[in-house]
This record gives sequence, C-alpha cells and structure tokens, in this order.
Amino acid sequence: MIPRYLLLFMCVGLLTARASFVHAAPPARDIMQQVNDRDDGDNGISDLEMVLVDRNGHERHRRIRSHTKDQGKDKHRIMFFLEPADVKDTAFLTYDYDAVERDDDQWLYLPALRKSKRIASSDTSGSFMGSDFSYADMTRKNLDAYDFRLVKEEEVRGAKTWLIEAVPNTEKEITETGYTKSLLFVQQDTFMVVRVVHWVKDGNRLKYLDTPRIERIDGIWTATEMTMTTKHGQTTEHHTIMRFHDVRYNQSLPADMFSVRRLEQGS
Amino acid sequence: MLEGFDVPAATAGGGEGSRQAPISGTLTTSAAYNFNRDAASVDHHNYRGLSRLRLKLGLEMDVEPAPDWQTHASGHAFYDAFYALRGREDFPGATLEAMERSIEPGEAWLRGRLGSWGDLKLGRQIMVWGRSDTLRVTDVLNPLDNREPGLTDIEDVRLPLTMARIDFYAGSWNLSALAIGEIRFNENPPFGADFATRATPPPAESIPSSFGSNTEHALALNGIFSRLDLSFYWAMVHNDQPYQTTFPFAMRHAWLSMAGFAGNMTHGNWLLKTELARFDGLRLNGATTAQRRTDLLLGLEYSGVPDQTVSVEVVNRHLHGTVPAGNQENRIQTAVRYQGNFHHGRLHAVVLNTTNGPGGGGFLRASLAYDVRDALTLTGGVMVFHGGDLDDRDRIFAEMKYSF
Repeated sequence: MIPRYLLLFMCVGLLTARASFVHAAPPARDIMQQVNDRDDGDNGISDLEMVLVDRNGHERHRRIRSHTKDQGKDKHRIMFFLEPADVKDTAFLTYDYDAVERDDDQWLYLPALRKSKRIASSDTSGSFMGSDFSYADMTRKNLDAYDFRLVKEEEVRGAKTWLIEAVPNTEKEITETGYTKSLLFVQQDTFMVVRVVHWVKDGNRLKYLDTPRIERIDGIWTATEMTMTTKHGQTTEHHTIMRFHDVRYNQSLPADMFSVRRLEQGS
Repeated sequence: MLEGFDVPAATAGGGEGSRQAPISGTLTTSAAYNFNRDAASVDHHNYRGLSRLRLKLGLEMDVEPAPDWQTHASGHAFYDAFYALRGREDFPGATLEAMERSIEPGEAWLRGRLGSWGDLKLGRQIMVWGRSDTLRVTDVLNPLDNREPGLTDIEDVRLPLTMARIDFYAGSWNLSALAIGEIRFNENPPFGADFATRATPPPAESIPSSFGSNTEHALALNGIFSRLDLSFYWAMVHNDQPYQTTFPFAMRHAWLSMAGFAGNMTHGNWLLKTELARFDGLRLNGATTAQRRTDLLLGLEYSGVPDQTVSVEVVNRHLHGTVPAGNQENRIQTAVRYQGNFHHGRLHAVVLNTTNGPGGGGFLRASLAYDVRDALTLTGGVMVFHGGDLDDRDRIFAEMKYSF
C-alpha cells in the first residue's frame, strides 16, 4: 500500500509539472487559432496523386487536379479527376463556408450522366474517393465546435510539437465529422498540424494522419505528402497516401473557374 | 496508440510525368439469363435462359485544338453472340439488325469559350435538362435508347443530336439557346426482340427530315445560388412518342411545346428536387385533337449516412380535357433508389424500384459492382419486372468492364 503522504507528494509533483508546462506554452485554443490563421496559400493549383492500399497490400491509384481560391474567409475548391480511366472527367466543386451554421455548397459532375448534380451532405464523415480521408479531413474545422487541451510536448521527426487534444463539444460535430476525439501534433515553428490521431465514432477504429513530407513553396509551408491509416487494434485495415505534385500558389485563377460552368468543361 | 503511424510504403503512380491520352474507352463483356420466360413466347422467339452474350467496345477522343477550345468524339460498337448460338434463322431481320450487332457514332462536337460572357458548342451532343435522376419530366431534348430498358449503360442511354448551342453568363444566371437540326427519336425494341411487346409488326414510322423547317428550338435559364438551383425551360420539339394514324397507316411524331421549371434545394443532408412541365400539342392514339398535359415531379434524397444515398421520386402526369380510351387522366410513376459504396469505394450497391401506374408495370433492379483493380469492374445483378407487358422478362445479368 502506498503511504498517504507519498500519494500526496506524487499528486503535487504531477500538478506542479503540469502547471509549469502549461505556463510555458500558449493556451491550446490560441495555438489552434494560429493553426487556422496560418497562411496556407491562395489561388493554388496542384496535381494530387492518391494511392489506396488495402490490408493485403493491393494498390489502387487516383490522380486529381485541384484548384483552390479564398473568398474572404470561405474557400472555393474545384477538383478534376484524371485517373483511373473509369472516373476520368468526373469533377467536384465545393464552396467551403467558414460560418458554422452554413452548410457547404457542393456539386458533382458525372460525365456518364452529362450533368452536374448538387450534393446535399452536411455529414462529411464519408470517404473521399474511397480513401481513408473523409470530406471532413479536407475542410477547415470550426474551432468553436471543439474543446482543446494541451497535453504535452512531443518531438516529431526532430521538430518540437505541441500535442493537443480536441474534443467536439456538440453531437452535431461528432456526427458530421465521424470523430469523437482527436490528438493533434502542432509543429511549434510553423503551426502546421503534422500528425493526428482520430477516434472514429463507429467501429472502434483509430485513424492516423501523418505528413512525412513538408516543403516550403512560394514561402508557404505545404504538406506535399500525407498518409492516413485506418487501424483496428494493431491491424492496419486500409491506408492512403496523398502526394501533391507541381504545387503552385498565387496563380491567376478567375472566379468563374469555381463554377458549375467550369465543372462541366473539365480541367 | 501514438506509435501507430508506421505504415508500409506504397509505390508511386503516374506522378508528375503522366499526361492524359487523347483516346480513352471501355471494353465490356456482358451476359443475361432470363429465368421467368416461357420456352416459346407469343412471337415464337426463344429468349428463355441465356439472352445476351455481348462484347462491346466504346471509344472517346478529346483534343484541344486551341486554348479554351475542345473537341470531343465518341462512339461504340457491339456484337451479341447470343443470336448465333441460338440460331440466327429464328429471329426476324429487324431484330438481328438492331440487336445482334451495332455501330453507333456518338457525340462529335466542338466547344469554345467566347469570353467570360459566353460559350459556343456545335455538333452532335447531349443536353440534359432537369434535376431528377431517374424519372424524366423536363428532360425532353435527346431521345433514349429503350431497346433494353434498365440494362443499357447509363452513358449510352441518351442518343446525341446535332445541334448548335450558345450559352450566356451573367452573375449567377446562365441562358442557353439551342437549335436542334437532327431529327431522331427513341430507339425501341424492334419487332421480335426480347423486350418487344407487340404481337404484330408496328406500322412504318414516319420520320421528318432533319434541318430546315423541322429544326427544333429550346431555351433554358439556369440560376445557381447557395443551397438552391433553379431552371426555367421552353422547347419546341417533336414528340419522341409517336401516335398512330389510319390514313395513311403510319406512326407519326407531332410537334410538342414544353414550358417547364426545375429546382433543387438542400437542407442539411436532404436534397429536395422538383420539376413541373406543361406540354401542348400532345397527340395520343385514339384522340382526334391534340391534348395538353401537366407533369409534376417531387423528389427527396437523403445523404446522411456516410457513403450511402436514398432517393424517392414521384411524378404525376395529368392529362387535361377529354381523356382518350386507353389513357389515364392521372398517371403516377415512382422511383426509389438506394446507392451505397463500401470497402473504400470498391463495392458499389444500387437498388432501384420503379412503378408506372396501374397496368404500367415497373421493375426492381439490384446490382453489385466490384472494382477488381483500377479500371476493371465486375458487376452482377438481378432485374425483376412487376406487372405490365414486360412481366416475364426477369433476368440475372453480369458484366465485366475494362476502362482504358
């Protein structure tokens, strides 16, 4: 049995250690605000290569051309699917609104149907193109929908990070993202989220996001390779690698690039 | 838990260097097995058991001759070995001509950007109107390939027409004006085909000549807003559905005018669809004068379950004035569709059930498609007809499709 004075000593020690760490670091919410406010580039073009790997190691490949543009606090994105051949010319347009009460506008162009179809889905937990990334992973989070807690500091590939726990504070956010909790590794010198562990609402699974390659492009720190792994216990169920090629910012992208007109005309 | 980031590396794909080839296509083999037909049907053509064994090649070519200008051409051809296996002599010439082998030129168009205010598109093309996915109300421009209802590839269901299209853009609005010169109608099952329902050959169909005074005209005004899409349509076209005349004994296509509206609205995970159209000049068998009809569609789609969608569409087609014998004042059609993607987009399930009102029948179609690897898909399913003239055409089907 542990003597009562020793237990008290241990608790004080833990509290002291935690107090000094929290005192030295900015509050978790402030860190996440800086993550959100970080310049992530505007008027960007990139080619995205996506590799989907199943539990047996079988691979499927996707190639997408993506254009993004900031419209105030909102982000417009248009994606054209280039490969494989059976999804070629499919295109996806989304207006990602910053306001939490406003659902995104989304349209999908399906070449087989020769028309654009509006997508109504405030639920963003679905898989993006069959990958381990969900639509929620591709959009910015509304910070007010989360409670943040600074857990500790960690090193990731030699860089100092803050480990921040993010817990949705509404059932709606849990339903829409499909995550009950996330642990985020925020690199201290760039305010980039370099790793995340997500607790998936259904199926007792964890999803691991990693950014093994980060480059500075036109002065903007950019993840040019990301991986997302879905695990059930120790078993890897599925794995996705996203590689960004030919990333360019500050391109001349007219507003009508992000329109249904352009969606139907292709890249 | 924090050690879960280690994963095996994957190979690189096309990466930076890969470029799109100008020619792409599909190679498809498909088979169908009828499990509910009599050995010899009323027309004595035996479609019991195997009823399709087809090889189909589809080709597309895309070229950009200049910045902001694109050309596109497509077409497909197929050969169905079923007829040779069953004995070609057992089938009428019209059936063999339409169903045994076919070379179908598809779209062939030139599209260009005239400026931020407009686009031009010339050539053989497909223009889809409306917001519904299964039932048609305002989608009146392109005819359909109805030779095998429910079994035709979705990309080949609409038949292209030669037309000139100009689009004007201003803010959230777009005006499309079309002149459709080519006159072409639905392709229906020829006499003696598996899906033909007549016991005798139909009268000859009188097809108006293309271009000149038979040129069809259409206008569409589309508005795209946050959570809301609106479209207003007007068209003066030939009715795809022919009517029978006695003197001369023929099937004719009347001029038809359509004024319509279509809209979409989203709310959370719900998509509301509506279409309304009024048709004037409708000629029906047994009627001495032209009729008027109003069609109203309401649809609802739910996407709140990840990777799955359920939609319901209901149409009421209301005939005004005196209703000729054999027609209904109100004909209600329904379509319920479920679509789900599983195993990271490898397995696709689709279930569709349609009804066509009293005596009109309908069908239930359920299919599973599995992506064996990139661009290679295996599909299998069942199609069950309920009521109507096609009641015994139930079948299972399978398809292997390679895209390149």
